[in-house]
Amino acid sequence: MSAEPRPPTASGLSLDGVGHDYLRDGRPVPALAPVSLDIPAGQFACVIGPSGSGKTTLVRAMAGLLRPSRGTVRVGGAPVTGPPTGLAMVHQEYGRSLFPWKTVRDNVDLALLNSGRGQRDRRAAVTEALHLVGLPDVERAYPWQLSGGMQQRVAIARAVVAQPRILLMDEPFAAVDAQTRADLEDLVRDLWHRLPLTVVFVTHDIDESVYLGQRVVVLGRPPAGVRADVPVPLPDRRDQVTTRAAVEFTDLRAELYGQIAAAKLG
Amino acid sequence: MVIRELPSAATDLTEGPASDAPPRTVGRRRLRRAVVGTALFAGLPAALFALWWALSAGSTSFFFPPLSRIVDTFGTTWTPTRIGQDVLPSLVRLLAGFALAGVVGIALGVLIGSVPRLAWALGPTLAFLRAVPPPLLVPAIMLVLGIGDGMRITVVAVGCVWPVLLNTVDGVRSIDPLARDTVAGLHLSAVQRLRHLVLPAAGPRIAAGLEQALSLALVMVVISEMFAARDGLGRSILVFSQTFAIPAMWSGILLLGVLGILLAFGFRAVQRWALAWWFGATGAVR
Amino acid sequence: MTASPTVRTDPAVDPGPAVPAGAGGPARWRWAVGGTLVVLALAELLPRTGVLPSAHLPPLSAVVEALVEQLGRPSFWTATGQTMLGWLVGGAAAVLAGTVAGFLLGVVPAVRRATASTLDFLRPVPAVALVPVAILLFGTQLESKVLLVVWAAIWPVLMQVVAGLAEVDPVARETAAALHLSPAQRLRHLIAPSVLPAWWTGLRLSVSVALVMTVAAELIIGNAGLGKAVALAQDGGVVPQMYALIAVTGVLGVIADVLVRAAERRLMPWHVSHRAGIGRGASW
Repeated sequence: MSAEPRPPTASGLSLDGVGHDYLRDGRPVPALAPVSLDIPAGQFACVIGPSGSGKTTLVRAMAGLLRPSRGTVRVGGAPVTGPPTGLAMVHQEYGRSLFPWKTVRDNVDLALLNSGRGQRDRRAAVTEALHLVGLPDVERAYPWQLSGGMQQRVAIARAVVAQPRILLMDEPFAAVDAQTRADLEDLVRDLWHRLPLTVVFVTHDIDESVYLGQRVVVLGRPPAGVRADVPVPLPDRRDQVTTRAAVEFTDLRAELYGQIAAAKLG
Repeated sequence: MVIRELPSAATDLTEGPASDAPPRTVGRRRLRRAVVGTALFAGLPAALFALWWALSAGSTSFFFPPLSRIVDTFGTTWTPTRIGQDVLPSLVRLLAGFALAGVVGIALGVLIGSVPRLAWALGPTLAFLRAVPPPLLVPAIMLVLGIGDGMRITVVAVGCVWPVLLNTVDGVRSIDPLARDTVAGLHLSAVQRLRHLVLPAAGPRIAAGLEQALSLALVMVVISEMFAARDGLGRSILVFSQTFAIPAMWSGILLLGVLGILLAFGFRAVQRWALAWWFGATGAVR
Repeated sequence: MTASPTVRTDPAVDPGPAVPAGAGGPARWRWAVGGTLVVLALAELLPRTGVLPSAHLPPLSAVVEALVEQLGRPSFWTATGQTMLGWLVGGAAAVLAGTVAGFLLGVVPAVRRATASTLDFLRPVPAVALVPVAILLFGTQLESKVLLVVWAAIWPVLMQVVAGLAEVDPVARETAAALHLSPAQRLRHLIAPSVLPAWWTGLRLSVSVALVMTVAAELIIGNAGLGKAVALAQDGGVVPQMYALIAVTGVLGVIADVLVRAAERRLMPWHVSHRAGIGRGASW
């Protein structure tokens, strides 16, 4: 933990040669080739890559859920040794990360258990977070009574309710239908505008990465690390119809398709 | 699958506002469903009981008296005094032993399930102890504790602890890693993890273990009363048969059966209340 | 049973948490051997040092000595044989009857619904309730033992078969219908393979329940066998011998479980542990 007081703004995230092997039958198999990245505070960065490129391993290392075999992750300058405070994560499988034995309200409140805040204060924060993600009326419902898209909104509410400075999202919309996905994409952009957040968004969908990010990082399968790291030359205000039709969008998309195809070949 | 055969709680929870049929039809349909449900539930048991009654009506067999006589004897045998003397103590021992087994089994199960090395170290010992038939522990425990309530409660507790313990271990071990990840990022204390994650997540498995334990508890209490005969329901039934009080013996068997059924149904009611989320969630998925 | 089993979509992507993996390898064996040695040492030392009353809980060495002495006696082997006979006859009868009854009650959905409550009423009736009847009808003969064993051990198989039949995949049913399979072919290619894993779980439970009830009957009714030998040893105050006999029964249970599991792995390599520990039907 760093001693200096942190400003009430987003934190940056830096990776210095972070790579990981896992053991199979006692032999190390590379899962993530060493990656060095610097994500400044407040940035919206997307990470894409073919399956087997170690995207999930990378996110888990950033979240402090996995100690990488090599390299250091730093959040706000401090090396990560366990799940850092001020960092929240949204998983792909909302059905498994929300607890079926808790109501929506209690699921969101889980993130505030150790905040030291009083009951009433927490309750208000939960209500506000649910409003923020567009779910004002479901506090008393159980997650399994909601649609997939609504469940993922609850998971997002739980992630932002404790006012994190960094939001990690691991293929969060891979399991929902196309229309819901578009709505959720706009929700994430909107939250990022409204809250002091650095967002790292991992996806396998090239279009999604271009539409959402200020920057797209392309991972390759080991032994390749970062294959490309490109800025997204799109205006800050985006919408599903015009942005996706813009020339800059289609150009970048084509370029990234080429990168991914090359990454798949090794 | 464990609780599948019960009418699902999910229908009540997920239905409701969705129905747009006029209320009258809904009422009639609900009534019909209730009638069919009751018929399915009570039909065959009632028919079998009637069949027993009819077939045994003219029975002159010494061992198989008419059901009407058994029912008559039931009233005269199981008077309030006798229930207070023989049945209540058995029930109290049963529940005390069951509660003890529950607490110890869940506590040890959570511990062993959370610490893989402990599970490895104790694995062979537990596998052996579980395989020892619990009734054989009655003579051993009697030797150590004598004949008394302490012995009987211990017999029940030692006999029933295994299903609770083993199911809890399995339940804790099979907690979704993603749920653990979720909690890891929230910086919860051990107690909070137990309360908000481990116990609820393992709850359905723990309940399955408790259910087995409860049916075993009744057996253990009766065996302890039959083996070390001093008092209790088990001894009464045995004495009836030894003194050839056949209708009274059958009434005792009936009473034991009814007790077993009441315990099983009571447990399910508690289970459906305590695990409402689970019935809802699994029902909604299917 | 919980919300979702621990399915990881792509193990190559996610190495999982950093706890020692399920396989555990040699470390696991070291812990198992070490832990067992500690338990055995405690079983010897606690009674010897007087922490536990050694008159009632003798040290391990005394029990082992009594066991060795028992192994040399024909009466021990007779008792073991009698227990195994009751276990085998009762268990086989229960599994057979449970399977047949389960199919009869479960294969037609309407019959299944109509009989469900009856099964729920009968199942909790404890086998020990039948002890007086068994004594009156059969005394201490093998039959009284078998009667109790069958009543107790029929339920796991029966309930598992009924539940397994209820869970035959509707899509697989439709597929079978679309392929115009005859009823016999459906039984052979669809229903039997779907029910087999549940049936096996029931079998495993029934086998262990059968052993429990066999020795329980011997203990209370006094049929010849290990249960009666335990009661006699307790009565005669030969404490180490009593524990030796109890331990032998435990070993029988372990052997049976190992055999059933080994057979399961050979018969259904695709389905091991998928249904592990489903406790439904394990009434007594």
